[in-house]
Amino acid sequence: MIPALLLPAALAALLAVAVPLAIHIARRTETRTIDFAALRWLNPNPKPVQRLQLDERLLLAVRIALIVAVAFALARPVLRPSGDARPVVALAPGVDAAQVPDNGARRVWLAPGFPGADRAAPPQAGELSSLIRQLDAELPTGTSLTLVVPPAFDADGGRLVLSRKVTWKVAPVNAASSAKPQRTPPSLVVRYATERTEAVQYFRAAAAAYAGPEQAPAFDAAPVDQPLPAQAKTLIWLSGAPLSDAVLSWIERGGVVLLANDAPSPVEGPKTVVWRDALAEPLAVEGRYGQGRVLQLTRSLAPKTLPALVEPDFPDRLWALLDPPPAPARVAAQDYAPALGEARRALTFNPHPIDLRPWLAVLIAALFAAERWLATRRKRPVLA
Amino acid sequence: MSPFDLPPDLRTRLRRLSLAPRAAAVLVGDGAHASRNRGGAMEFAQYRAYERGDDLRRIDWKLYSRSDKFFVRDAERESPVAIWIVLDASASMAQADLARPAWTRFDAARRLTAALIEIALLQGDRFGLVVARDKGPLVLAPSGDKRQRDRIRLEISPLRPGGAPHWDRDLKTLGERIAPGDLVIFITDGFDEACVAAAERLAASGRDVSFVQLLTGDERDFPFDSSLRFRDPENRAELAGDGRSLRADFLKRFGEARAALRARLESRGVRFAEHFADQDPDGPIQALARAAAVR
Repeated sequence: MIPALLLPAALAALLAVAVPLAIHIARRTETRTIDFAALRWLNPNPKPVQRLQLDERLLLAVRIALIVAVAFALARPVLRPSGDARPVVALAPGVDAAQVPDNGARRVWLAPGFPGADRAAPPQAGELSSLIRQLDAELPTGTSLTLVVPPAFDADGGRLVLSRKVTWKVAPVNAASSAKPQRTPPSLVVRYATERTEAVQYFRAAAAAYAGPEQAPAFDAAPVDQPLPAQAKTLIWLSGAPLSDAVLSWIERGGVVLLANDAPSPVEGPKTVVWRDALAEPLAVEGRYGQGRVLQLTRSLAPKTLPALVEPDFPDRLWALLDPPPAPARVAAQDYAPALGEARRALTFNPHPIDLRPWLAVLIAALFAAERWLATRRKRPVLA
Repeated sequence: MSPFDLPPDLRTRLRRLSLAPRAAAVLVGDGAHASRNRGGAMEFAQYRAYERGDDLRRIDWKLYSRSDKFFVRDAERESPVAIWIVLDASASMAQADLARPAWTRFDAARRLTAALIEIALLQGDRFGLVVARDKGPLVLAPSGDKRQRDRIRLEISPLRPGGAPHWDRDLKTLGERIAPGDLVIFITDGFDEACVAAAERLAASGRDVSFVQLLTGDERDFPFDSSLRFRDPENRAELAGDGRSLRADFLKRFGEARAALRARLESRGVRFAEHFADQDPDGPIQALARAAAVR
């Protein structure tokens, strides 16, 4: 455990110790005047009082301790767990921990916070490569690291370049590997102005294409004044009218809306082109509104201006617009072995220190209570 | 606690004490003290049987003719010696101890006065009072009755010490009112040079002077532990200092000053006693009686 201060400049607050000192000295120099008729036998030039006189030393000590405690609390004291020099074996959640022989190494799960492997396996974490980089950065230099990963996992865009040479072990997963998640097509909700009823047919056709041969298409078309169904995730707005407040708040909470080209867009920030035709002309732009996305077509919904409407891949295009497919991330562990980067200095501190401020708060409260008790008790040597 | 309410144990001790003039041996007569004016101010008190040694002139011959027995007229006689108490009411007498701020030096002086009156009454002596104030002396002519005690009590109860008495001016009054041979007891702190000089002048002119230097407990012990500002109540001079650093030096110098005052007064034939405000008043009276016996 290494004590440290995150904000040492706050120790300047220790200067406030001068205040109680001044209070306790000032009382002493505030002399009482008494009648003393035998004055002429007093030494007219008395020696100055050498010693600094402080009264109520216990109260003064408590007050100083209180100020010191507050100053330390402001300086954010932490205790850093000292580095553990044992080699580290990091297991990706899901791999069979029994596959790796226990040689007295510290075994952790590759999960946020790196819990010990003696605990139950945490749920599968997506950002495995990020966790590996973090673990590499947090371990002291020279600690050998063994990474045990499943044969295939989701990686991110960059290759693993670590500061140390690691042992890269591929272990079979003990549970059945999760199958590729099935993407469900969006259920379309269309709100249209009455003069644009004919444009609804393209979306009804797309919804029919998403549905299986025996299924009824998930499709809900209604005039603009109808409220949205509760489970709606995507909305197609075929009207030149502005979006109603209810719709706007629905988008803000995470809804996805596709606007006709003449509908006023609520987006104020930048917009990006998300759909281009074969000539690279923009067909749809995207912007953020709250947590939701606002897509807007750049052309009116007619085959004449937007030939893509009648192309056979329109349902797929629409799906990709409303619910973009995730970027490919699956990687074979064999091919993702970390490379040895330049030996960056490992972090000299543990980024997960124990914050001491709650304990200091308890101490401060106790000191404050003691100070009040001492300062307000009936028998004080010096009257306040 | 009123200075005039003497506790019972103090009364008991006072009963054993006496106030006697040094010159008693020179005079003859009856009563506690000798008298030079045996014939005057006779007031009939009682008849008593003749005893050997009674003056033949005092036999009541008319009564003898009726009863064939010798009777002597006994007279209530004024005591020939008056006891004068001279109280100093200067501002310094208002000083009190730090530990007991309600009991001033003047309170102790009043208690000593009460004790002296108690003894004087027991002895049947006349007693009078002079209070030296800055606006002139307050004189209560000597008398031996009990109402004199109440009179004195009434006069000095409301007194508040203050200012600085002019002893040079008041010495004339003292000399006029105090007859030679009278017992004069000064109750003062003795810090005023003029007061000491007045006592010396009275002693030199034939009065039997006693001098009680009344000090406070603070002046005796100097118990101050902190930084204080000392103020002379009479000339308003001030001095700041720390009690601890001043103590040893003060006790030494003040002790020397007290010893010097005692030596000076005793060399002039003045009986000297020290009294402390936090002590019982029979101590100095006893000391004065001892001083008379030593002579």
